[in-house]
Amino acid sequence: MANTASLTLEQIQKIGRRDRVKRTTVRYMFVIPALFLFFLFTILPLAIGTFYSLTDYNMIQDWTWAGLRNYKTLFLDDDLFLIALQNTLVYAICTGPTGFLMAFGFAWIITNLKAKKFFTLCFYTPTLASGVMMSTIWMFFFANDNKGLFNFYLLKWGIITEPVLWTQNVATIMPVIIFISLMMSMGNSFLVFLAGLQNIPKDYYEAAQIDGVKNKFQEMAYITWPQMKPQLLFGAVNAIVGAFGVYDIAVTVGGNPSPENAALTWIGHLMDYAFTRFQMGYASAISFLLAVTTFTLGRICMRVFREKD
Amino acid sequence: MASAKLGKKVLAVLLAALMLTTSSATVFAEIAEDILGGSVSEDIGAGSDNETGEEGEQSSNKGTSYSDVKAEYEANGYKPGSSVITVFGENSDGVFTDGSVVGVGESAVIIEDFTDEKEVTKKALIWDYTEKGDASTNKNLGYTFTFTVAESGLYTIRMGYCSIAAANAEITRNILIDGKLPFNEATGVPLFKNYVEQGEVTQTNVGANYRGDDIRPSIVESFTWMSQSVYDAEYLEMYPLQFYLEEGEHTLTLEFLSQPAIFSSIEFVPAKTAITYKDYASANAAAGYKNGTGSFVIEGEDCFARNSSGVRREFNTDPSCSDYSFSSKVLNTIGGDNWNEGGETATWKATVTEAGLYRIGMRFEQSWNEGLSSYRQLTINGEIPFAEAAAINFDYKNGIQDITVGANDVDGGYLFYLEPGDEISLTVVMGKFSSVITELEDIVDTIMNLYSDIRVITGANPDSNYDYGLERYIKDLKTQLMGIRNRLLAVNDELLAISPKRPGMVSNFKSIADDFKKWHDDTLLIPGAMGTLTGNATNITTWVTEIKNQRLEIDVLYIAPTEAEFNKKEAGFFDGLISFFVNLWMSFMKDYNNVDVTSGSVDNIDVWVGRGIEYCEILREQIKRDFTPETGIGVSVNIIPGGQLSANGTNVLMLSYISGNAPDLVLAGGGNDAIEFAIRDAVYPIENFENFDEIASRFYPALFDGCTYEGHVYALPETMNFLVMYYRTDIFDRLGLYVPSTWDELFGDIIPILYENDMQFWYTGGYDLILYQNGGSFYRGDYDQDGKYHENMRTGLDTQTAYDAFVQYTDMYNEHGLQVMINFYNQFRYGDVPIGIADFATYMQFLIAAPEIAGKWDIAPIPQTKFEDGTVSSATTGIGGNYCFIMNNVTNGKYTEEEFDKKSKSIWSFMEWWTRADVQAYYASEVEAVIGRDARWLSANIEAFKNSAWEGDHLNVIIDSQEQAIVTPNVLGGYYTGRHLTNAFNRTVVSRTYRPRDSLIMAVKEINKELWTKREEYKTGIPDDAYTLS
Repeated sequence: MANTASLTLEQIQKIGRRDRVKRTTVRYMFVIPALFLFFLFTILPLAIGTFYSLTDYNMIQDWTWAGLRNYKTLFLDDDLFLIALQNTLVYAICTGPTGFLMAFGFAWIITNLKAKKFFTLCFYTPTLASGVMMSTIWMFFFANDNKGLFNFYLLKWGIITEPVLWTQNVATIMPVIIFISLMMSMGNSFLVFLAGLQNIPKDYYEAAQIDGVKNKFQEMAYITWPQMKPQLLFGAVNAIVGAFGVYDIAVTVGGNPSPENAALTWIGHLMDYAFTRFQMGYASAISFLLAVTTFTLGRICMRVFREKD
Repeated sequence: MASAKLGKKVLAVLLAALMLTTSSATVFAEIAEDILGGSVSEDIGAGSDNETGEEGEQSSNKGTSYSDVKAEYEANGYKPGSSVITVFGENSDGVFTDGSVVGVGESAVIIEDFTDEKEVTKKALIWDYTEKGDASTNKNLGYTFTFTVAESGLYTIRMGYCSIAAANAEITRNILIDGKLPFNEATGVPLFKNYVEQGEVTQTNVGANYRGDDIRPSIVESFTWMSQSVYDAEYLEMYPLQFYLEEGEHTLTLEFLSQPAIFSSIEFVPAKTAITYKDYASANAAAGYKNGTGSFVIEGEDCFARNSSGVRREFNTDPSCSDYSFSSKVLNTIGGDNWNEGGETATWKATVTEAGLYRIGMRFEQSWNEGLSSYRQLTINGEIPFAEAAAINFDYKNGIQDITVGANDVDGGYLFYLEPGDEISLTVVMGKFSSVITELEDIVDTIMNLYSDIRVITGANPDSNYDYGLERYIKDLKTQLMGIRNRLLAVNDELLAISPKRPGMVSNFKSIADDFKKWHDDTLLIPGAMGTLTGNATNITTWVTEIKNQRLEIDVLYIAPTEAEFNKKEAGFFDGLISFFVNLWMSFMKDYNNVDVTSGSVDNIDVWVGRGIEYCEILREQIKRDFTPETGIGVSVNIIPGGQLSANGTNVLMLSYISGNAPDLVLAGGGNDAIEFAIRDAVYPIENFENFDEIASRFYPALFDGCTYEGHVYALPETMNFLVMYYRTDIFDRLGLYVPSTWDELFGDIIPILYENDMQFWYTGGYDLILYQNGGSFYRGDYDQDGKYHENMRTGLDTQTAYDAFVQYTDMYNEHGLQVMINFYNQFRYGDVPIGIADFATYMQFLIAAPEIAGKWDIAPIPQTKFEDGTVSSATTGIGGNYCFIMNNVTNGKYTEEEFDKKSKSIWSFMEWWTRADVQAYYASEVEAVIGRDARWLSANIEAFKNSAWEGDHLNVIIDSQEQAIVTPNVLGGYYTGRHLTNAFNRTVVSRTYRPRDSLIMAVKEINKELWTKREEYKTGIPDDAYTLS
C-alpha cells in the first residue's frame, strides 16, 4: 500500500478495470449453474411451448404447421375457455388478495404472540401437505351425503332438511374450492412475512414511540408495512401465480369434468386439451397466454410494491 | 312363543287405548297398523322373550342351535351308538347299499362306477349340477336316503366323496333327518377338497450373481376320493356334529347348496368321546410304549396334503426361520394369511424312524389379530388323540416363536404315540372363541331386531329432538339395552380371560357397552343415535369376522422324545442386523418391476401388465410352464401401475411409445385407451390375424364394440363385469313384496311400499341402460362430404327415442324421488335400501364383507322396459372390463416392417393362448387361491367365467344379464358424450334449471361439435351439416 501514491491515475484505473473484470467473471461463474437451469427448465420449455402453440401436435404423430389458428380459436371460438377464465378470475380475486392479507395478518398477529414458534408450526404445517391431500380431508367436511360433517350438523340442527350436494351443485362448487384454498393459503409467503416482520429493527418502533406513535395499528401503517415492501412483493406475486395455477384442488373437489364446468379452471382447460384430447398445439397456446397473463400481473405487482427510496 | 303372542296382544291393547285417547288418531292408527301388520309382531315378540331371561336369546324365527341340542343329549343321557350304519355305499363287508335313494324335485338318481384321478373306481351317486338349466330350484334339490337304526344313540356322519369341479370352494350340503333340520348347524356343512402342489419351487432370474426369489408352485385341485366327517360350517365345534337317532327306520336328506360332487359312501358312525390326556398317557403306559429315539425336523412347507388352496408356502424374512437367505425371498414356511378358515387342514408325514412316544414342537409366527390366539386341532391319522389336542392355542406375539405342544399343561409337553409314516394334521378350529363368536353373533341379531323395532316408530331419518316415546311402544326397551350392555361386558371379560395378552379389540366392546348404558340412562338419545346403533352392530360383526380369521404360519415341526432334543436353529441379534442391511442393499440391486424374462427359442416379446405383483407372478408361472414350452416364445412380464397404461395424461406407456421403448403387448388396458392410441397409429389392429373369428367367438360380441373403430378391431377383451339387481330376501318377505321384473312393476308396486317404510331404491345403471332398453344408441352413422358412410359419425341423442329415454331417466329422480347419492353397501346391510342395481364390486362386498346378511340377499335380473304394445326390452349394460392390445412399434421406429411382421405373429399367438378357456380358468382359480376370495377373476372368456364358484343360481342371472348387454362404442371425441350427459343430468335433476328436452339438446349440440372437430383433426371425414370451429 505504500507505493500507491506513486502510481499514475491511468495505472490505477487499469488495475481497477482488471480487478473488475476478474471480479465480475467470478460472479458470472457463480451464476452460471442457476442460469443454466433457468434456461433449461424455464426459458427453453417456454420457447418450445410457444413454438408448439403454432402447430397441431398430438404427441405421437408428427406436428403440422397451424400458424395462428390455435390463437384464433382460443380468442374467438372457445366458449369453454371463457368459462375457465371466468372461474379462474373469480377464484383469483377471492383467494389472491384474501389469502395474501390473511397470510400477512396472521404473520403479524403471531409475531406479537409469545409462543411464536408453536403457532408458526401450526399454521405452516398444512401447506406442506399437497393440495390433493388437503382437499381430500376437506371432502369429509363437504361430503354430499348426510354423513358429511357440515351436512350432518346442518341436518341435526334442523337448518336444512336434505343434504346439500356441496360438490355437485353448480352454485356451491366454487365457494367450496375457494374456502379450502383459503384454509391452506398460509404458505411460503406466510413464512417470508414472518421473517420480514422479525427483521424490522426494534429501534424503529422505539424511535416512533418517542415521535408519538400510540398503538400497534399506527406502528403497522407507518413502520411495518413500508418496511415489508420486498416481502410483500414476493407474497403478492406468489399469490397471483398461485391463484392462476389452481388445478389440484379444483379437480379433487369438482371432479374432472366438473358439473357444468363449474370448477373448470385455466389450467384445467389446458390439461383437458393436453391430456384428454392430445391437442398439444392448442394446449400450448392456452399455456402461453397464461404465462403472458401472470407475467403482466407480476409486473403490475412490482410497480405497486416497488420500494420508493 | 307364548310370551311373544302375549306381548303382541298387550301392545295391541295399548295402541287401541292410545288411539281412543288422542286427537290425532289417524297417525296412531297408521303406526298401529304398521306395528301389528308388520315386523314388530315378530321382533317385539322376540324382545319380550328376552325379558323373561337368559334362555330367551334365541329369537322366535331361528331354529334350534346345536348347543341346545347337545345340552338336551346330555340331559337325556344319550349314549353313542354301537355300530356303523351304512346309508349309502359299500359297508365293511363289501355289500353295496343304495339306501333306496330318491331324488328330491327333478334330480335324477344316477348310480354308476366313477373313476378318480388315481384310477380308483367306486360305485357312486353322481350328483352333478353344473349343467342344470333351471338353477332357480337348485337350492331345494337333493336326495333322500332311507336307513334303519338298530340301536338308539348318538352318531356322527362320515362321507366318502370326490370333487369334480375345479372351483375354489367347498362342497356344501344341508342335512335333514326325517325331513327336518335337526339343528341350525346342519345347514351348509362343508366337505373339503383335496389340493396338491404342481411342480417344484423355482427361482426368478434376477441377475447372474444372485440367487433369485423363490416362485411358489401352483396349487391345483386333485380329484381323488376323500373321506371326511361332517362338522359345522365354521368349525365352531371341535368334534363332528352328533345326531341322535332312535331305533327304527329314518330318512336322511342331503340338499344341494354349492359344488357338484360324487358320493361313494354315507355312513352314520357312533359318536366318540375323546379321552383326556391323563387317560391317553396311562393307556400308552399300559400298552408298554416307550419313549422313541432321535430328533426329527419336518419343514412346515413340506406338508404333503392340504384340503384348501390357502395352505401354501409363504416367505418369512425372520432370520431364525429355517432355509433363510439374506439376499432373496425363500419359501420357508406354510400357511400365513390364507390358512385361516375353519376346517382348513395341513398334513405332514411323521419322519420318525421307530414307533414310540414323542413330543411335538413347532416354530411358528402368529402376529395377527393383536393379542388374540389362533387355534389348531392336532390329529394323528385323522383321529384326535385326546381331548386337549382338539384345540391347541398359538399365542399372539410379534415375530417368530416356539411352542412345545402341551408344555403349559404337562411338564415337558404331551407325549404322542407315533409310528413311522403317521400323518400329523393341523386343522383350523375356533377353540375357546366358539362361545364368544356365537354370543357376539347373537348380540348383533338382538341389536338389529331392536333397531328395526325402533325404526318402525321413528322412521329412517328420525328427528333427534323429538320425543317418540320409545319406551311406551317397546315396553322392555331399557331391559333390552341393559341386557346388551351386560352381555357385551361379559364377552369382554371372557376375551380377556382367554387371551394371554390384552387383545387390541376388547376396549371397543367396552365402549360399545358404554353406548348402550348411555341409551339406557336416557332413551331420548336414541333417535339421534340410530347411525351409531347400527354402526355398533356392524363393528361387532367386523370383529367377529376378525376373530374367525385364525391365521398361523408354521416354519418347522420338531419331533423328539424330549423338548431339549428339539433340533432348533438359533439366530442371534446380528443375524437380524445383517439381514436388514443386506435387504437394503438388495433393494438397489433387484428389479422389482420386471417379474421375469423367460428366453424363448423362437422370439421374445415384452408384455406390460397393469396389475399387482401377485397377478403377474401367476401369469409368469403359467407362461413358463405352458406357453413358452408350447410355442418357443419367451415373454418378459413387467408390472406397470394401472394408471400408467391409460391414454389419459402423460404416462409411462405414452412416453415409452414416443421414445421407441414401448412394449409389444399391453395387458389390463382399457378399450378406450386402445382406441385413443389406435387413432394415432400407436395400436395395431388385430382383425386380420389368423383365426381371429374363432378367437373372437370366445367372448360376447358386444365386448368388441368397445374396441372397434372405423371397422378395425384393436383389442381382445380380458375381463368383464356385470350389472344385476340386488335385494334383501328377508325384508321382501316381511313387507310381502315380489321381485319386480319391469320398471313399471318397480315404480308401481314396490317403491311406494318402500317409501311407506322409509326405504329407498338404489339405481346405478345410468342413462345408458334406459337408452338401450328404449332401443336407442349413443352414436349413429352418416355419410361424409364425399358420400362415404361412417359408423358412429354423429351423436344418437338427437332422436325421439333418446329424448324419451332421457325423460324416463330424469323422471326416476324428479318424479319418483330416487336419491342421487347413497352408500349402497352400508344401507343395504342396514336394510334401509333393500333393493338396488349395482355391479360386480358390490357383489363381492356383499359376499365377503357383509357376513351379517349372508343368506338374506339374492340377485335378480335388471328390470325390463315394457312398451305399450306389450313387447319387452331387456337390454343391459355394464359388462365392459379390461382389454389387451398390441402396440404398433413400426410407427415410432422401434421395429422395421419385417421385424414387426414376425413379432406380431408371436404376440398374437400369446394373445390367443392367454384368452383360451382353460388358461383363463386356471388363472382365475390361481388368483383366487393366492390373493383371496375377493380377488375373483372375471374372465372375459365366457367358458372360463362360468367356471368360478358362483353361489346357487347366481351364475344364471349374471349370464342372462351379460348376454343382453350392449357396450357403448369408443369413438374419437367420445369423452364429450359422458361429460355433457352428466351436465344435462345435473341441469335437469340436481340444479333443476332446464327441462329434459332443452337440457338434452344443449348436450347434443356440444357432443356433435366435438365429434366433428376431432374427425376433422384426424381427417376421417365429417358430415355435410357439420359446422366447425375454424
